Amino acid sequence: MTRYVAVIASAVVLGLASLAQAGQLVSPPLPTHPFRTNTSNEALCRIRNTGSAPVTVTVSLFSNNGTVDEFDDCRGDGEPRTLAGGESCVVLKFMPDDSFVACKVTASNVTNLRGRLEVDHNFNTNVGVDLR
Amino acid sequence: MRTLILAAVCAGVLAWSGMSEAAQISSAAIFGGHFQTRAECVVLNAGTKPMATTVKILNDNGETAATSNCSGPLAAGEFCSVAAAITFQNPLASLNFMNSFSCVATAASTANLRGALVIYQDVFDVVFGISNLQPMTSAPLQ
Repeated sequence: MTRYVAVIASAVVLGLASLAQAGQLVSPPLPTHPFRTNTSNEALCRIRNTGSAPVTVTVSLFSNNGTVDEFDDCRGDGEPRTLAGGESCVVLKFMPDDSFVACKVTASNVTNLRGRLEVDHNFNTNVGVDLR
Repeated sequence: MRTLILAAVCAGVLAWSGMSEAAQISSAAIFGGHFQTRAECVVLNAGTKPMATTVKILNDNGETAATSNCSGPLAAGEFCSVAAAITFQNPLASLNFMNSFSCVATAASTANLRGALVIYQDVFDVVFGISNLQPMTSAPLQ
């Protein structure tokens, strides 16, 4: 009986663990084809803390080919930034042609974080997807 | 004790059910417009282990327009895409916005699988003599 209860308790703990909030949100990937000749090709990842408590976020905007950093205010002094309640940040990189891009944010609790990946051309958004 | 065990079992089953994931994620069917020429579906293995994945683009009739098994297991952090040329413009499209496409990705677990379907139009650049792909609409797989 003791063993039986222990097994059940383990199952409960394991199961309840799945109910805890995951520590990351990941976007669907997007392609980065040239939009028009002589236009720049950028990707942006926007993260917003919709809660009231501060959250320290680590944002990664990545591709299968080389990118060029342009702007990142999700970091401060090279370290992950803490977003106050209602605050947002953005990472912007120039993208290689005919590649793929995605965005990931990790935090101790992502319940109140919202994120969006956008693919821009000449800084005009043409397609975007939400992180989940 | 019996009540306690019963309650624990119920809680375990309920919680455990949250761990199980469907083995498939799908997009909505989307239509870019009458000048759409290409559907491209991209998936990302956002997990830490390789995962065998199949990606399919389907037309309005549920027929496969393009498929890929990503040339083997998709490594952690790896992307995989499949594209379908849209050569047939449904004559009913102007009336019913038909000729839409959707994408389905299947894997043992889709918890760490992300995907998006994008519909493009080809726009010819007369100055440089090349065609560019301009996104018209997109939908996530979920």
